[in-house]
Amino acid sequence: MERLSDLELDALGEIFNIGVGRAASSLSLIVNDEVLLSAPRVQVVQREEASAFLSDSELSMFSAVTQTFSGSFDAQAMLVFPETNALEIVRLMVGPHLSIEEVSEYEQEAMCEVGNIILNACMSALADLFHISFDSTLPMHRYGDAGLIGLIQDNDEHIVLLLQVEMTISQYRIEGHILFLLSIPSMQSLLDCLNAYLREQGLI
Amino acid sequence: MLNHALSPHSLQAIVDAIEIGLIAVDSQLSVLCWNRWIARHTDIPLDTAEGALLLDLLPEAAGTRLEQAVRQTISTGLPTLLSPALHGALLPLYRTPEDRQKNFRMHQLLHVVPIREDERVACLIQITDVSANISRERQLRLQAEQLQRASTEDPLTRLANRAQFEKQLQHQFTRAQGNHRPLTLVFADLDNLSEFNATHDAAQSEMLFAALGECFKKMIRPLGDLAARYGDDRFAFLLPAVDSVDALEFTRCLFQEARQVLASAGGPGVVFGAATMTPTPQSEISTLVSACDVAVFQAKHEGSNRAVHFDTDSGNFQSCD
Repeated sequence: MERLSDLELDALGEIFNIGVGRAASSLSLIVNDEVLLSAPRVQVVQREEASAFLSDSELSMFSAVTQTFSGSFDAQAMLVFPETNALEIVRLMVGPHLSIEEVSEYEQEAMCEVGNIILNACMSALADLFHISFDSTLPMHRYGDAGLIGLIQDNDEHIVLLLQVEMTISQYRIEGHILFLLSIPSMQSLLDCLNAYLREQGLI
Repeated sequence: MLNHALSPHSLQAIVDAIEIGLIAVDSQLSVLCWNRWIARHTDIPLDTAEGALLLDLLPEAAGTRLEQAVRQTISTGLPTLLSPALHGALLPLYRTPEDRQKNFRMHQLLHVVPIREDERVACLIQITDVSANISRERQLRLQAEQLQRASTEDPLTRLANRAQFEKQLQHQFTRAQGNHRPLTLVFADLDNLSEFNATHDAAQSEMLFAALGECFKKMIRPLGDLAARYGDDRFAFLLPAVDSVDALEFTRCLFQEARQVLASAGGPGVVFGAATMTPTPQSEISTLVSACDVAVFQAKHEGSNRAVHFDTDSGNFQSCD
Protein backbone atom coordinates (compact mmCIF):
# COMPACT_ATOMS: atom_id res chain seq x y z
CA MET A 1 0.00 0.00 0.00
CA GLU A 2 1.53 3.25 -1.07
CA ARG A 3 1.41 6.21 1.27
CA LEU A 4 -1.21 8.89 0.77
CA SER A 5 0.06 12.24 -0.46
CA ASP A 6 -0.39 15.34 1.67
CA LEU A 7 -2.95 16.60 -0.81
CA GLU A 8 -4.97 13.39 -0.50
CA LEU A 9 -4.82 13.49 3.29
CA ASP A 10 -5.84 17.15 3.37
CA ALA A 11 -8.73 16.52 1.01
CA LEU A 12 -9.99 13.58 3.08
CA GLY A 13 -9.66 15.70 6.21
CA GLU A 14 -11.72 18.47 4.65
CA ILE A 15 -14.40 16.10 3.44
CA PHE A 16 -14.73 14.50 6.87
CA ASN A 17 -14.88 17.94 8.42
CA ILE A 18 -17.86 18.75 6.22
CA GLY A 19 -19.37 15.52 7.56
CA VAL A 20 -18.76 16.21 11.22
CA GLY A 21 -20.00 19.77 10.72
CA ARG A 22 -23.34 18.41 9.52
CA ALA A 23 -23.39 15.95 12.38
CA ALA A 24 -22.84 18.80 14.83
CA SER A 25 -25.93 20.61 13.60
CA SER A 26 -28.02 17.43 14.02
CA LEU A 27 -26.68 16.96 17.54
CA SER A 28 -27.38 20.62 18.33
CA LEU A 29 -30.98 20.08 17.26
CA ILE A 30 -31.29 17.26 19.79
CA VAL A 31 -29.77 19.01 22.78
CA ASN A 32 -31.16 22.44 21.95
CA ASP A 33 -27.74 23.88 22.53
CA GLU A 34 -24.71 24.39 20.36
CA VAL A 35 -22.71 21.22 19.85
CA LEU A 36 -19.34 21.62 18.14
CA LEU A 37 -17.48 18.84 16.41
CA SER A 38 -14.10 18.89 14.78
CA ALA A 39 -11.92 16.19 13.31
CA PRO A 40 -8.66 18.01 12.80
CA ARG A 41 -6.47 15.30 11.31
CA VAL A 42 -6.71 12.09 9.30
CA GLN A 43 -4.11 9.39 9.75
CA VAL A 44 -3.77 6.27 7.66
CA VAL A 45 -2.58 3.35 9.75
CA GLN A 46 -2.58 -0.44 9.80
CA ARG A 47 -5.22 -2.13 11.89
CA GLU A 48 -2.72 -3.26 14.54
CA GLU A 49 -1.37 0.26 14.84
CA ALA A 50 -4.89 1.61 15.32
CA SER A 51 -5.66 -0.79 18.15
CA ALA A 52 -2.26 -0.11 19.70
CA PHE A 53 -2.98 3.60 19.37
CA LEU A 54 -6.25 3.26 21.25
CA SER A 55 -4.91 0.84 23.85
CA ASP A 56 -2.05 3.22 24.51
CA SER A 57 -4.31 5.87 25.89
CA GLU A 58 -4.59 5.65 29.66
CA LEU A 59 -8.18 4.42 29.56
CA SER A 60 -8.59 1.01 28.07
CA MET A 61 -12.35 0.47 28.16
CA PHE A 62 -14.27 1.86 25.24
CA SER A 63 -17.77 2.61 24.16
CA ALA A 64 -17.97 1.98 20.42
CA VAL A 65 -20.66 2.29 17.78
CA THR A 66 -20.18 0.50 14.49
CA GLN A 67 -21.93 0.59 11.16
CA THR A 68 -20.96 -1.32 8.05
CA PHE A 69 -21.22 0.64 4.82
CA SER A 70 -21.22 -0.93 1.39
CA GLY A 71 -21.20 0.59 -2.06
CA SER A 72 -18.45 1.80 -4.38
CA PHE A 73 -16.19 0.73 -1.56
CA ASP A 74 -16.95 -1.04 1.72
CA ALA A 75 -16.03 0.32 5.09
CA GLN A 76 -16.60 -0.68 8.64
CA ALA A 77 -17.03 2.62 10.41
CA MET A 78 -16.57 3.00 14.12
CA LEU A 79 -16.97 5.83 16.57
CA VAL A 80 -14.93 5.10 19.68
CA PHE A 81 -14.91 6.99 22.96
CA PRO A 82 -13.16 6.01 26.16
CA GLU A 83 -15.97 4.76 28.39
CA THR A 84 -15.82 7.73 30.79
CA ASN A 85 -16.07 10.18 27.88
CA ALA A 86 -19.06 8.33 26.45
CA LEU A 87 -20.84 8.52 29.78
CA GLU A 88 -20.09 12.21 29.90
CA ILE A 89 -21.61 12.74 26.44
CA VAL A 90 -24.73 10.85 27.41
CA ARG A 91 -24.99 12.76 30.67
CA LEU A 92 -24.69 16.09 28.87
CA MET A 93 -27.24 15.04 26.26
CA VAL A 94 -29.78 13.16 28.36
CA GLY A 95 -29.73 15.25 31.49
CA PRO A 96 -27.04 16.78 33.65
CA HIS A 97 -29.09 15.96 36.75
CA LEU A 98 -28.52 12.22 36.34
CA SER A 99 -25.87 10.37 38.29
CA ILE A 100 -23.24 8.40 36.41
CA GLU A 101 -24.98 5.14 37.38
CA GLU A 102 -28.24 6.34 35.88
CA VAL A 103 -26.53 7.64 32.78
CA SER A 104 -24.99 4.26 32.06
CA GLU A 105 -28.48 2.83 31.65
CA TYR A 106 -29.03 5.11 28.69
CA GLU A 107 -25.55 4.75 27.29
CA GLN A 108 -26.17 2.05 24.74
CA GLU A 109 -29.07 3.55 22.86
CA ALA A 110 -28.00 7.17 23.17
CA MET A 111 -24.49 6.37 21.92
CA CYS A 112 -26.02 4.37 19.05
CA GLU A 113 -27.82 7.49 17.96
CA VAL A 114 -24.83 9.79 18.41
CA GLY A 115 -22.63 7.34 16.48
CA ASN A 116 -25.25 6.93 13.79
CA ILE A 117 -25.41 10.69 13.26
CA ILE A 118 -21.65 11.15 13.07
CA LEU A 119 -20.86 8.09 10.94
CA ASN A 120 -23.73 8.69 8.50
CA ALA A 121 -22.65 12.32 8.16
CA CYS A 122 -19.05 11.38 7.38
CA MET A 123 -19.99 8.75 4.83
CA SER A 124 -22.64 10.89 3.17
CA ALA A 125 -20.11 13.72 2.84
CA LEU A 126 -17.90 11.28 0.93
CA ALA A 127 -20.89 10.08 -1.10
CA ASP A 128 -21.97 13.63 -2.02
CA LEU A 129 -18.57 14.80 -3.19
CA PHE A 130 -17.67 11.56 -4.95
CA HIS A 131 -21.15 11.25 -6.55
CA ILE A 132 -21.59 7.73 -5.20
CA SER A 133 -23.96 6.14 -2.71
CA PHE A 134 -23.79 3.67 0.14
CA ASP A 135 -25.98 1.21 1.93
CA SER A 136 -25.53 0.73 5.61
CA THR A 137 -26.51 -1.46 8.51
CA LEU A 138 -28.12 0.13 11.55
CA PRO A 139 -25.68 1.12 14.28
CA MET A 140 -24.57 -1.37 16.90
CA HIS A 141 -23.11 -0.47 20.26
CA ARG A 142 -20.27 -2.38 21.89
CA TYR A 143 -18.47 -1.92 25.12
CA GLY A 144 -15.11 -3.33 26.07
CA ASP A 145 -11.40 -3.15 25.41
CA ALA A 146 -9.86 -2.76 21.96
CA GLY A 147 -10.33 -6.49 21.32
CA LEU A 148 -13.93 -6.66 22.43
CA ILE A 149 -15.09 -3.72 20.37
CA GLY A 150 -14.04 -5.65 17.30
CA LEU A 151 -10.96 -3.72 16.37
CA ILE A 152 -8.73 -6.76 16.47
CA GLN A 153 -11.01 -9.18 14.75
CA ASP A 154 -9.95 -11.26 11.80
CA ASN A 155 -6.71 -11.82 10.00
CA ASP A 156 -7.63 -9.89 6.87
CA GLU A 157 -5.34 -7.06 6.11
CA HIS A 158 -7.10 -3.79 6.72
CA ILE A 159 -6.18 -0.17 6.35
CA VAL A 160 -7.62 2.21 8.92
CA LEU A 161 -8.46 5.85 8.40
CA LEU A 162 -8.15 7.22 11.89
CA LEU A 163 -9.64 10.58 12.85
CA GLN A 164 -9.38 12.24 16.19
CA VAL A 165 -12.67 13.88 16.99
CA GLU A 166 -13.39 16.60 19.50
CA MET A 167 -16.92 17.21 20.66
CA THR A 168 -17.89 20.31 22.63
CA ILE A 169 -21.22 20.29 24.47
CA SER A 170 -22.10 23.03 26.97
CA GLN A 171 -18.44 24.08 27.08
CA TYR A 172 -17.29 20.56 27.90
CA ARG A 173 -14.71 19.19 25.51
CA ILE A 174 -14.78 15.46 24.91
CA GLU A 175 -12.31 13.52 22.80
CA GLY A 176 -12.80 10.35 20.84
CA HIS A 177 -11.91 8.69 17.56
CA ILE A 178 -13.57 7.83 14.29
CA LEU A 179 -12.17 4.82 12.47
CA PHE A 180 -12.90 3.57 8.99
CA LEU A 181 -11.64 0.05 8.37
CA LEU A 182 -11.16 -0.73 4.70
CA SER A 183 -9.85 -3.76 2.87
CA ILE A 184 -6.96 -3.13 0.44
CA PRO A 185 -9.25 -3.18 -2.65
CA SER A 186 -11.75 -0.88 -0.93
CA MET A 187 -8.98 1.51 0.04
CA GLN A 188 -7.87 1.53 -3.58
CA SER A 189 -11.43 2.32 -4.72
CA LEU A 190 -11.64 5.13 -2.18
CA LEU A 191 -8.38 6.57 -3.50
CA ASP A 192 -9.68 6.30 -7.09
CA CYS A 193 -12.79 8.23 -6.09
CA LEU A 194 -10.69 10.77 -4.21
CA ASN A 195 -8.38 11.32 -7.16
CA ALA A 196 -11.31 11.67 -9.55
CA TYR A 197 -12.71 14.30 -7.17
CA LEU A 198 -9.36 16.13 -6.97
CA ARG A 199 -9.13 16.14 -10.78
CA GLU A 200 -12.67 17.45 -11.01
CA GLN A 201 -11.67 20.26 -8.66
CA GLY A 202 -8.65 20.98 -10.83
CA LEU A 203 -6.32 20.19 -7.95
CA ILE A 204 -4.31 17.56 -9.80
CA MET B 1 -41.91 -21.99 -5.57
CA LEU B 2 -44.27 -19.48 -7.08
CA ASN B 3 -47.12 -21.09 -5.14
CA HIS B 4 -45.45 -20.06 -1.95
CA ALA B 5 -44.99 -16.41 -2.94
CA LEU B 6 -47.05 -14.00 -0.88
CA SER B 7 -49.87 -12.21 -2.60
CA PRO B 8 -50.01 -8.43 -2.14
CA HIS B 9 -53.10 -9.11 -0.09
CA SER B 10 -51.34 -11.33 2.44
CA LEU B 11 -48.37 -8.95 2.53
CA GLN B 12 -50.78 -6.21 3.56
CA ALA B 13 -52.21 -8.55 6.18
CA ILE B 14 -48.73 -9.06 7.63
CA VAL B 15 -48.02 -5.35 7.64
CA ASP B 16 -51.26 -4.83 9.53
CA ALA B 17 -50.72 -7.69 11.95
CA ILE B 18 -47.26 -6.62 13.04
CA GLU B 19 -46.90 -5.00 16.47
CA ILE B 20 -44.70 -2.20 15.21
CA GLY B 21 -45.77 1.09 13.68
CA LEU B 22 -44.93 1.31 10.00
CA ILE B 23 -45.09 4.50 7.97
CA ALA B 24 -43.63 4.64 4.48
CA VAL B 25 -43.25 7.99 2.73
CA ASP B 26 -41.98 8.96 -0.71
CA SER B 27 -39.42 11.65 -1.43
CA GLN B 28 -42.14 14.32 -1.13
CA LEU B 29 -42.97 12.93 2.33
CA SER B 30 -46.39 11.74 1.11
CA VAL B 31 -47.63 8.67 2.96
CA LEU B 32 -47.40 5.41 0.97
CA CYS B 33 -48.03 3.00 3.82
CA TRP B 34 -49.75 3.46 7.17
CA ASN B 35 -50.29 0.19 8.99
CA ARG B 36 -53.01 -0.71 11.43
CA TRP B 37 -50.74 -0.28 14.47
CA ILE B 38 -49.97 3.33 13.58
CA ALA B 39 -53.61 4.04 12.73
CA ARG B 40 -54.63 2.70 16.14
CA HIS B 41 -52.07 4.64 18.12
CA THR B 42 -52.37 7.94 16.25
CA ASP B 43 -56.15 7.70 15.90
CA ILE B 44 -55.69 8.59 12.22
CA PRO B 45 -57.28 6.01 9.88
CA LEU B 46 -55.57 4.73 6.75
CA ASP B 47 -58.06 6.50 4.44
CA THR B 48 -57.07 9.87 5.86
CA ALA B 49 -53.38 9.11 5.93
CA GLU B 50 -52.79 7.57 2.52
CA GLY B 51 -51.42 10.14 0.10
CA ALA B 52 -51.42 12.89 2.75
CA LEU B 53 -48.24 14.71 3.74
CA LEU B 54 -46.55 13.25 6.80
CA LEU B 55 -46.08 16.67 8.40
CA ASP B 56 -49.77 17.51 7.90
CA LEU B 57 -50.73 14.30 9.69
CA LEU B 58 -48.13 14.66 12.42
CA PRO B 59 -47.30 18.36 12.67
CA GLU B 60 -45.38 17.59 15.91
CA ALA B 61 -42.64 16.07 13.77
CA ALA B 62 -41.96 19.29 11.85
CA GLY B 63 -38.58 20.80 12.62
CA THR B 64 -37.56 17.86 14.79
CA ARG B 65 -34.78 15.32 14.34
CA LEU B 66 -37.41 12.99 12.88
CA GLU B 67 -38.14 15.27 9.94
CA GLN B 68 -34.41 15.78 9.47
CA ALA B 69 -33.76 12.03 9.67
CA VAL B 70 -36.47 11.24 7.10
CA ARG B 71 -35.13 13.83 4.67
CA GLN B 72 -31.55 12.65 5.20
CA THR B 73 -32.49 9.00 4.73
CA ILE B 74 -34.19 9.87 1.45
CA SER B 75 -31.25 11.94 0.21
CA THR B 76 -28.39 9.75 1.46
CA GLY B 77 -29.99 6.30 1.50
CA LEU B 78 -28.53 5.70 4.97
CA PRO B 79 -30.54 4.40 7.93
CA THR B 80 -31.09 6.45 11.09
CA LEU B 81 -32.00 5.59 14.64
CA LEU B 82 -33.81 7.86 17.09
CA SER B 83 -33.47 6.66 20.64
CA PRO B 84 -36.02 7.21 23.40
CA ALA B 85 -33.14 8.35 25.64
CA LEU B 86 -32.64 11.45 23.52
CA HIS B 87 -36.17 12.01 22.23
CA GLY B 88 -38.52 10.43 24.78
CA ALA B 89 -41.97 10.53 23.26
CA LEU B 90 -41.47 12.43 20.05
CA LEU B 91 -44.72 11.55 18.25
CA PRO B 92 -48.19 11.89 19.75
CA LEU B 93 -48.77 8.15 20.08
CA TYR B 94 -50.86 6.75 22.91
CA ARG B 95 -51.22 3.19 24.12
CA THR B 96 -54.82 3.61 25.25
CA PRO B 97 -57.61 6.22 24.91
CA GLU B 98 -57.13 6.98 28.63
CA ASP B 99 -53.46 7.74 28.01
CA ARG B 100 -54.54 10.03 25.18
CA GLN B 101 -56.86 11.93 27.50
CA LYS B 102 -54.11 12.32 30.05
CA ASN B 103 -51.67 13.21 27.28
CA PHE B 104 -49.42 10.39 28.42
CA ARG B 105 -47.38 9.51 25.36
CA MET B 106 -45.84 6.18 24.52
CA HIS B 107 -42.03 6.05 24.65
CA GLN B 108 -40.75 5.35 21.17
CA LEU B 109 -37.74 3.89 19.51
CA LEU B 110 -37.65 4.96 15.86
CA HIS B 111 -35.77 3.41 12.98
CA VAL B 112 -35.79 5.39 9.75
CA VAL B 113 -34.57 3.19 6.92
CA PRO B 114 -34.37 3.62 3.15
CA ILE B 115 -36.40 1.53 0.73
CA ARG B 116 -34.92 1.50 -2.73
CA GLU B 117 -37.10 0.92 -5.71
CA ASP B 118 -35.26 1.29 -9.01
CA GLU B 119 -33.53 4.66 -8.72
CA ARG B 120 -35.93 6.13 -6.22
CA VAL B 121 -35.52 6.05 -2.48
CA ALA B 122 -38.57 5.96 -0.27
CA CYS B 123 -38.36 5.86 3.46
CA LEU B 124 -39.80 3.54 6.08
CA ILE B 125 -40.30 4.75 9.63
CA GLN B 126 -40.55 1.90 12.13
CA ILE B 127 -41.85 2.75 15.56
CA THR B 128 -41.41 0.41 18.52
CA ASP B 129 -43.23 0.94 21.79
CA VAL B 130 -40.60 0.86 24.53
CA SER B 131 -42.76 2.27 27.35
CA ALA B 132 -42.51 -1.02 29.24
CA ASN B 133 -38.70 -1.00 29.13
CA ILE B 134 -38.61 2.63 30.10
CA SER B 135 -40.84 2.23 33.14
CA ARG B 136 -38.90 -0.83 34.23
CA GLU B 137 -35.71 1.15 33.80
CA ARG B 138 -37.23 3.99 35.75
CA GLN B 139 -38.09 1.64 38.62
CA LEU B 140 -34.62 0.17 38.64
CA ARG B 141 -33.16 3.65 38.52
CA LEU B 142 -35.29 4.75 41.43
CA GLN B 143 -34.13 1.83 43.53
CA ALA B 144 -30.52 2.29 42.54
CA GLU B 145 -30.85 5.99 43.28
CA GLN B 146 -32.20 5.34 46.79
CA LEU B 147 -29.44 2.87 47.53
CA GLN B 148 -26.82 5.20 46.21
CA ARG B 149 -28.22 8.14 48.10
CA ALA B 150 -27.99 6.23 51.35
CA SER B 151 -24.31 5.56 50.81
CA THR B 152 -23.19 8.87 49.35
CA GLU B 153 -25.42 11.54 50.87
CA ASP B 154 -25.45 13.38 54.15
CA PRO B 155 -29.07 12.96 55.35
CA LEU B 156 -29.30 16.34 57.12
CA THR B 157 -28.11 18.63 54.34
CA ARG B 158 -28.79 16.33 51.36
CA LEU B 159 -25.29 17.21 50.15
CA ALA B 160 -22.63 14.61 49.39
CA ASN B 161 -21.06 12.96 52.42
CA ARG B 162 -17.37 12.95 53.20
CA ALA B 163 -16.67 9.55 51.61
CA GLN B 164 -18.28 10.68 48.36
CA PHE B 165 -16.34 13.92 48.49
CA GLU B 166 -13.01 12.17 48.98
CA LYS B 167 -13.79 9.91 46.04
CA GLN B 168 -14.65 12.83 43.77
CA LEU B 169 -11.65 14.82 44.95
CA GLN B 170 -9.37 11.96 43.92
CA HIS B 171 -11.15 11.66 40.57
CA GLN B 172 -11.13 15.38 39.75
CA PHE B 173 -7.53 15.79 40.89
CA THR B 174 -6.39 13.05 38.51
CA ARG B 175 -8.42 14.63 35.74
CA ALA B 176 -6.96 18.07 36.38
CA GLN B 177 -3.48 16.53 36.27
CA GLY B 178 -4.34 14.95 32.95
CA ASN B 179 -5.81 18.00 31.24
CA HIS B 180 -3.61 20.65 32.91
CA ARG B 181 -6.57 22.59 34.20
CA PRO B 182 -6.98 24.25 37.57
CA LEU B 183 -8.95 22.75 40.43
CA THR B 184 -10.44 24.79 43.26
CA LEU B 185 -11.24 23.47 46.72
CA VAL B 186 -13.27 25.47 49.23
CA PHE B 187 -13.83 24.74 52.93
CA ALA B 188 -16.47 26.49 55.01
CA ASP B 189 -16.23 26.14 58.80
CA LEU B 190 -19.08 27.11 61.09
CA ASP B 191 -17.88 29.07 64.13
CA ASN B 192 -18.86 27.97 67.61
CA LEU B 193 -21.46 25.49 66.49
CA SER B 194 -21.62 24.05 69.99
CA GLU B 195 -22.79 27.43 71.37
CA PHE B 196 -25.57 27.52 68.78
CA ASN B 197 -26.57 23.97 69.67
CA ALA B 198 -26.61 24.83 73.36
CA THR B 199 -29.07 27.68 72.87
CA HIS B 200 -31.25 26.11 70.15
CA ASP B 201 -33.13 22.83 70.05
CA ALA B 202 -32.37 19.92 67.72
CA ALA B 203 -35.14 20.83 65.28
CA GLN B 204 -33.76 24.35 64.84
CA SER B 205 -30.31 22.98 64.24
CA GLU B 206 -31.64 20.52 61.67
CA MET B 207 -33.50 23.31 59.90
CA LEU B 208 -30.35 25.39 59.74
CA PHE B 209 -28.37 22.57 58.14
CA ALA B 210 -31.14 21.79 55.68
CA ALA B 211 -31.27 25.48 54.68
CA LEU B 212 -27.50 25.60 54.22
CA GLY B 213 -27.60 22.43 52.14
CA GLU B 214 -30.27 23.89 49.89
CA CYS B 215 -28.41 27.18 49.57
CA PHE B 216 -25.12 25.48 48.64
CA LYS B 217 -26.78 23.17 46.15
CA LYS B 218 -28.27 26.19 44.41
CA MET B 219 -24.94 27.99 44.26
CA ILE B 220 -22.82 25.37 42.54
CA ARG B 221 -22.92 24.47 38.86
CA PRO B 222 -25.12 21.41 38.54
CA LEU B 223 -22.55 19.63 36.40
CA GLY B 224 -19.12 18.72 37.69
CA ASP B 225 -19.15 20.82 40.88
CA LEU B 226 -19.69 19.11 44.20
CA ALA B 227 -20.83 20.43 47.57
CA ALA B 228 -20.42 18.16 50.58
CA ARG B 229 -20.81 18.04 54.32
CA TYR B 230 -17.23 17.25 55.21
CA GLY B 231 -17.51 17.15 58.98
CA ASP B 232 -19.85 18.21 61.79
CA ASP B 233 -19.20 21.88 61.25
CA ARG B 234 -17.32 21.84 57.94
CA PHE B 235 -18.59 22.02 54.37
CA ALA B 236 -16.43 21.40 51.32
CA PHE B 237 -16.77 22.38 47.66
CA LEU B 238 -14.98 20.98 44.67
CA LEU B 239 -14.86 23.12 41.54
CA PRO B 240 -13.14 21.59 38.52
CA ALA B 241 -11.60 23.93 35.92
CA VAL B 242 -12.17 27.00 38.11
CA ASP B 243 -9.13 29.29 38.20
CA SER B 244 -8.11 31.75 40.92
CA VAL B 245 -10.04 34.67 39.43
CA ASP B 246 -13.31 32.73 39.28
CA ALA B 247 -12.60 31.04 42.60
CA LEU B 248 -12.39 34.45 44.31
CA GLU B 249 -15.71 35.53 42.87
CA PHE B 250 -17.40 32.22 43.59
CA THR B 251 -16.16 32.10 47.20
CA ARG B 252 -17.33 35.66 47.71
CA CYS B 253 -20.86 34.81 46.50
CA LEU B 254 -20.95 31.58 48.47
CA PHE B 255 -19.80 33.39 51.59
CA GLN B 256 -22.45 36.11 51.25
CA GLU B 257 -25.26 33.63 50.65
CA ALA B 258 -24.17 31.49 53.60
CA ARG B 259 -23.99 34.56 55.82
CA GLN B 260 -27.58 35.46 54.93
CA VAL B 261 -28.88 31.97 55.68
CA LEU B 262 -26.98 31.86 58.96
CA ALA B 263 -28.01 35.36 60.01
CA SER B 264 -31.70 34.73 59.36
CA ALA B 265 -31.54 31.63 61.57
CA GLY B 266 -29.68 33.49 64.30
CA GLY B 267 -26.96 31.01 63.55
CA PRO B 268 -23.24 30.88 64.14
CA GLY B 269 -20.56 32.74 62.17
CA VAL B 270 -18.67 31.17 59.30
CA VAL B 271 -15.22 31.36 57.74
CA PHE B 272 -14.36 30.36 54.19
CA GLY B 273 -11.00 29.21 52.92
CA ALA B 274 -10.40 28.47 49.25
CA ALA B 275 -7.38 27.15 47.39
CA THR B 276 -6.71 26.86 43.66
CA MET B 277 -4.08 24.67 42.10
CA THR B 278 -3.14 23.54 38.61
CA PRO B 279 -1.72 20.15 39.53
CA THR B 280 1.20 18.63 37.68
CA PRO B 281 1.73 14.85 37.52
CA GLN B 282 4.02 15.25 40.55
CA SER B 283 1.48 17.18 42.66
CA GLU B 284 -0.29 15.54 45.55
CA ILE B 285 -3.83 15.96 46.74
CA SER B 286 -2.63 16.59 50.29
CA THR B 287 -0.93 19.79 49.07
CA LEU B 288 -4.23 21.17 47.81
CA VAL B 289 -6.07 20.14 50.98
CA SER B 290 -3.35 21.66 53.20
CA ALA B 291 -3.43 24.87 51.15
CA CYS B 292 -7.17 25.07 51.73
CA ASP B 293 -6.63 24.47 55.47
CA VAL B 294 -4.08 27.27 55.49
CA ALA B 295 -6.62 29.61 53.86
CA VAL B 296 -9.20 28.67 56.52
CA PHE B 297 -6.61 29.27 59.23
CA GLN B 298 -5.75 32.66 57.74
CA ALA B 299 -9.45 33.58 57.61
CA LYS B 300 -9.95 32.56 61.25
CA HIS B 301 -6.87 34.51 62.17
CA GLU B 302 -8.47 37.63 60.68
CA GLY B 303 -11.60 37.12 62.77
CA SER B 304 -15.01 35.55 62.42
CA ASN B 305 -17.00 35.85 59.19
CA ARG B 306 -14.10 36.13 56.82
CA ALA B 307 -13.21 34.46 53.54
CA VAL B 308 -9.71 33.98 52.18
CA HIS B 309 -8.42 32.52 48.94
CA PHE B 310 -4.95 31.00 48.51
CA ASP B 311 -3.40 30.46 45.10
CA THR B 312 -0.93 27.60 45.45
CA ASP B 313 0.67 28.37 42.09
CA SER B 314 1.65 31.95 43.05
CA GLY B 315 1.57 31.52 46.85
CA ASN B 316 -0.69 34.59 47.22
CA PHE B 317 -3.44 35.09 49.80
CA GLN B 318 -6.36 37.31 48.95
CA SER B 319 -9.41 38.03 51.05
CA CYS B 320 -12.77 37.69 49.36
CA ASP B 321 -15.38 38.61 51.93
